[in-house]
Amino acid sequence: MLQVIADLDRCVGAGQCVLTEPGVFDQDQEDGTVVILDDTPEDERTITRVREAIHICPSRALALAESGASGRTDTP
Amino acid sequence: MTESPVLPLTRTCPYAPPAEHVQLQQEPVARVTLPDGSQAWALSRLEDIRAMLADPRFSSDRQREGFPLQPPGPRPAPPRQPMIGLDPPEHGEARRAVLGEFTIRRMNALRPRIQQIVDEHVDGLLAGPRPADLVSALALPVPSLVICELLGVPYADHDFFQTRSANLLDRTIPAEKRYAAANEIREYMATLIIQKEKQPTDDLIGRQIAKGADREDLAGLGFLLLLAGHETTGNMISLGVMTLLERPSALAALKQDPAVTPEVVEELLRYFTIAEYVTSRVAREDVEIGGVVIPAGDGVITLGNVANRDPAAFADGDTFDIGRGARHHIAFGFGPHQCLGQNLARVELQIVFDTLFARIPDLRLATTTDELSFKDESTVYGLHSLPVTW
Ligand code: SF4
Repeated sequence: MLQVIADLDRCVGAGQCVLTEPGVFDQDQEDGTVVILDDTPEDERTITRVREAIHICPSRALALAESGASGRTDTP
Repeated sequence: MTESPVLPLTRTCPYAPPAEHVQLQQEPVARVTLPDGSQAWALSRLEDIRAMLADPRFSSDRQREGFPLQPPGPRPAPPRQPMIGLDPPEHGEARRAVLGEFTIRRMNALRPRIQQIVDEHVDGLLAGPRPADLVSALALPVPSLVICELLGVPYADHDFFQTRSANLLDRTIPAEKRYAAANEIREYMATLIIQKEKQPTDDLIGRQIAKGADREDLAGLGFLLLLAGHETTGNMISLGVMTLLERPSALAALKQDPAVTPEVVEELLRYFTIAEYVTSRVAREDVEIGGVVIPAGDGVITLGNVANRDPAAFADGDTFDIGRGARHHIAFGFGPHQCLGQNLARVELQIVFDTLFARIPDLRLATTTDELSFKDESTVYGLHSLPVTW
């Protein structure tokens, strides 16, 4: 399974991910950094849009990895 | 080897980057000469520019030796660099302190108020004489009012900082005059902040004061946001209206389906890339980009305009095509400095286009494109005026 990973230290809160796929990405209302709403999206269309978000994220803070890979996420 | 071109250059066709920029694309990492005789590198491939702007080995510090395209002569160092000139880790801290003010949700919450401002200006346009100048009647005042309200800057003062921001960005006026303009805006901000310290207000500046922001830093931030809010969105509005009025099929698509508007906005941003030289950098160490080693201390200029038509990223990039999916353009820059206000700009542009063409369906140009006067001398491209009628 694919897992969406965000590096909060890199994120510069441009919100490009939220504009691309609001079902998966949101922003922290205080500091504007990315919040992952669904870290293991399953349908193909959503995954395509997650890949687009990864491509346009200006700080290269996002990644898709095989589930279980290490990486910082903001889900507890 | 051919003579290296001297940058900056001006457009000859309003819809296309300067011919020399396009030529530079043949050599993606090219040596160029600057007006002061110094040399720099110009990048024109989208991927190279993205890589460079995301690479912390390139500095945004305009005070650093080798930073390209600085006005000549001794440069008065501002007490504190505004965010645009900071490198990590200071940049991240400064940016994060205000990020919360610019989230997508925050920007969407502003929609009703922006709609109201746009409606009032369309009312004014309709009540006024024909032909009308769209730049002074709508394109400039709308973003100006919005950024003033957001920051908590009295709109009554807008003439003061509007003339100064225009001077600051004008490449043809002497450097001292540009520095003087910058200083005046900075002093204005400092005074406003002191006022707000005494009488707290619930606006961006007021909230930053309440959070304990440093006065100097805040003055720099206010200055930057005010400047960016004035000279960019307004120009995109007028260029956008011009473009759409000349492209009936794109305009019809926009009128028919509001879901198309965001696509139109992205394509307009890509197509014009109105501020390219602001994303210059200087190498802190030797770095290889696109197969060329850029030595430490060398300046790098990004030709965003050409890169946003890079065939590797945008097929048939010289064509205005609202269906292409242009979201990976770099009109707002790239990397950690990517425009903080980009989503405010998007919301404003969407509301303006939707409202204007719905309320004045037979809006048309009152002149021909070759009679229009473009801001060729400015760091931010745009139109001096746009005569329209209906
Ligand atoms: S696009 Fe990237 S930088 Fe912007 S909010 Fe999303 S993760 Fe952060």
